[in-house]
Amino acid sequence: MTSTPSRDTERISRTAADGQTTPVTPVSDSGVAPDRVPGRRQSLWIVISSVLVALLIVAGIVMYRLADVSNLWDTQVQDVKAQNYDLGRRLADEQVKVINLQSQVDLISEQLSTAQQRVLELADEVAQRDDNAEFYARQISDLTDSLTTASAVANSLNKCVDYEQQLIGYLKEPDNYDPAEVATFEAGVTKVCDAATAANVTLQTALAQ
Amino acid sequence: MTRFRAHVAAGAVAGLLAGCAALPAAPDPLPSNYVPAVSVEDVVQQGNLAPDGFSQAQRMTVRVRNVGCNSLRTGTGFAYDTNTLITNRHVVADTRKLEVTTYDGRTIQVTAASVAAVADLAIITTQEPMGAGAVLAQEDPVAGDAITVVGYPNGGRLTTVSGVVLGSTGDPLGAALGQVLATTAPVEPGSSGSPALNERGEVVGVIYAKNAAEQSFMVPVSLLRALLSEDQLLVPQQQTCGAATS
Repeated sequence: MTSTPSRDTERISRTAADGQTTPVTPVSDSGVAPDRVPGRRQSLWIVISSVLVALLIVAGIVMYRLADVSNLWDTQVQDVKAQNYDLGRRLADEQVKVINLQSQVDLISEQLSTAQQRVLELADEVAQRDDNAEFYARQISDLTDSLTTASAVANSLNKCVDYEQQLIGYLKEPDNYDPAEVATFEAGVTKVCDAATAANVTLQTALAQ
Repeated sequence: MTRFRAHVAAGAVAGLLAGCAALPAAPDPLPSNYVPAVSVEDVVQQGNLAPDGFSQAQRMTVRVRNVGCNSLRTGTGFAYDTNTLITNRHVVADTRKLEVTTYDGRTIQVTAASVAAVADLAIITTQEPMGAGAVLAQEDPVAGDAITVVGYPNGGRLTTVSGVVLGSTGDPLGAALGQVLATTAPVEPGSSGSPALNERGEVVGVIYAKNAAEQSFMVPVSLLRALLSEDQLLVPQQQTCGAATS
């Protein structure tokens, strides 16, 4: 039994349900001959096919574009990796330099500190030397003054001795000199000798200090 | 029905275009240099050190030698400007010759000295320039402030000590008008005239005395400022021994 189109089949089935007739099973569309497909359905298939082809083309374009972008990103990732490795290597080099320079800075700082201490020590030595120079200059000045005073005292004592010897000569020959003049001379000698003695005592006291 | 298909086709094309617009974009070109620029000025400012490594406080502090009529004394002073030093009055008293020695051993002759009657302070003028002078603080320190004293205790090496301001008190020697400041900074004879510096390196006082409790005393910077601004408060000091030498 040959099947009919779907609407007829529906009618037949309904009739079978109402009129106790044998239900008719429709034959699938695949079994329909192409020359029997209606024109409306054919155009639908054309549209669908066209859309699918268009989708296929677009999908190809998209895939090509995605592959291109992916390649670009991959290239950039490789570049970034290379630059990162380069930066990392430079960073490591700089860290090594920093460590070396820091050790040099520490060494130079230590040397600078030592040099500063030495400068301060030398400056102190210079100052102490100048202090000593001033002290010794003062001592030399004092000694010079003492020598001058001692020389004057020695002169005074020499004069005292000379006058006393001269007085002794006068006293050995009393008949040759006026006693009054001898007495006056003796008083003068005593005054000179007292002054010389006092100066000598003062000198000795100063030297003792 | 044809219109409906056209709409579907248009929608499909629009959807495709929208999908294309949502595609990830290509990466931007990478920068050629990732290292930020460093200002040379910043680098130079970071190395603001003295050429010889000594601090400004050390460079401005000098040792004063007072060759007196019958004695040889030492004290400390500090540069106020290129040719002017500040020290104590008793450091330059009874002098026959004054000399100052710098931190690096240079000896500089003194041309004149003036002393203040109102405080144990003196101003010394030198022949040669001393370099940069001290910066005076605007205000006196208060109790609890930390100070640093740079000087030549016992006429020896240049020494730096620290202490804390205890507060104002009367002059224990009775030589200054007004109040002076007591500190815990340990000083010795020879430290007289040392600058007392605050944490910013500004001079806040001039050390001039100590007591048996190892407290030191300093003339506050306000009195020093008043002295420097009033020339009539200074009296020229004669560098001769006068009657004592004759």
